[in-house]
Amino acid sequence: MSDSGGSIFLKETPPRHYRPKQPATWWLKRPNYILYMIREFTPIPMAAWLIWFLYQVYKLHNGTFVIQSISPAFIAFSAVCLFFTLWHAITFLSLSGLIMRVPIGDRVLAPIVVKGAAFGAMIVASILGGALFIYLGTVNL
Amino acid sequence: MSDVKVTVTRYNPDADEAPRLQTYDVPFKEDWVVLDALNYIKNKLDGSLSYRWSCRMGICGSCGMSVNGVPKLTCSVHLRDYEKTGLKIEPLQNFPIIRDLVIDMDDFMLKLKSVKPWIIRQLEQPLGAGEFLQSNNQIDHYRQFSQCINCMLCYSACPVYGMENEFLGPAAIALARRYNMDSRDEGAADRLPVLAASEGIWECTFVGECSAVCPKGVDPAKAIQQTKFDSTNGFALGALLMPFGGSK
Repeated sequence: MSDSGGSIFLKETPPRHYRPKQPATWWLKRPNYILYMIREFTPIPMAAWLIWFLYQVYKLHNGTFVIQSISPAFIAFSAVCLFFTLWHAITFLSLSGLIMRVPIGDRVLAPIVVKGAAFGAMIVASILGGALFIYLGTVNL
Repeated sequence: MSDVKVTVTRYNPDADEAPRLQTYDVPFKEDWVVLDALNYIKNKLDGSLSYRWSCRMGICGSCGMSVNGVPKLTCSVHLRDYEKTGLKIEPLQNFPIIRDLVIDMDDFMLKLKSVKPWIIRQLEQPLGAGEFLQSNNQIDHYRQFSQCINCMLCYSACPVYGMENEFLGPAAIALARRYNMDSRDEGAADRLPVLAASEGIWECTFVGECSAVCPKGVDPAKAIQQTKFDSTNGFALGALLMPFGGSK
């Protein structure tokens, strides 16, 4: 039977729905959303600080760096950046034990071991990075 | 006996342009759950109120609604927890509303089916070949993901799904993970194209609220991140990193 006419059956029409839209302020609705957004934005001050840092290294190389030019406001900004950096790193590495499954036979390595290894690697990398930086500062390239 | 103000979303597609709120006075009873309050409204105050429910014991997953802005199974939260704050019951967020508190779950059902949430064998054995044995350790790999009751609270809590309805979503990925981790299953490669698509695991930005609201203690965020890790680290490296040109 064609749809064009003569059908004794009622044509089924799709039900009318109301489709809500997610507001731009969705992230203000719950504390966890706010924390998520803050964490997502932490790389921005970190990137700003690193650009400043590279600029100071450039000035040091040119011999125009003056230690007194660092203001207390900038030290406060650096402290905030350090807090964000540590928060980002610690929250990321804290989940490594849950996310990284290391199979051993039909078992997996205990999450605490994976997490410990991740934090250990971060500490070792930080020490090595710092040591390398200090070493490069002492040699005349 | 004191009353509790219960504000409920009403939407009649034949009469309303948009949902509206209606408030009812419901008697407060210490042992009532939120679903009991809705049933009281339906039975005593306003028979036109529409909502889904079935088992009343947190198993069927059909009574999921937004309670004071948080996705909950209404059979599993007590009225007494809202005695002082009052109660606002809305349909699950991020879904089209059909009527009052009833949402359209077709999108979820299609996504659920797309990940083939059943055991796939490449070569079916006859029944006479015997059962598939599993150790407790093998069951532990997927046990928590198998607790999902498809209540869709995780979709309601997921802002990524709210923004991009194409996202495969937390429960579907958790269930895909459940079967991928099952030692009896051989269907991981069959599920991979759906999981690895741009609407799959990579859409998730790890907000984590899906796991926070799950009434059964499932951790879909963990399932998604584990799938991301395993995918890049292991068996499907080529296909996932080159979804449009990689070989299977």
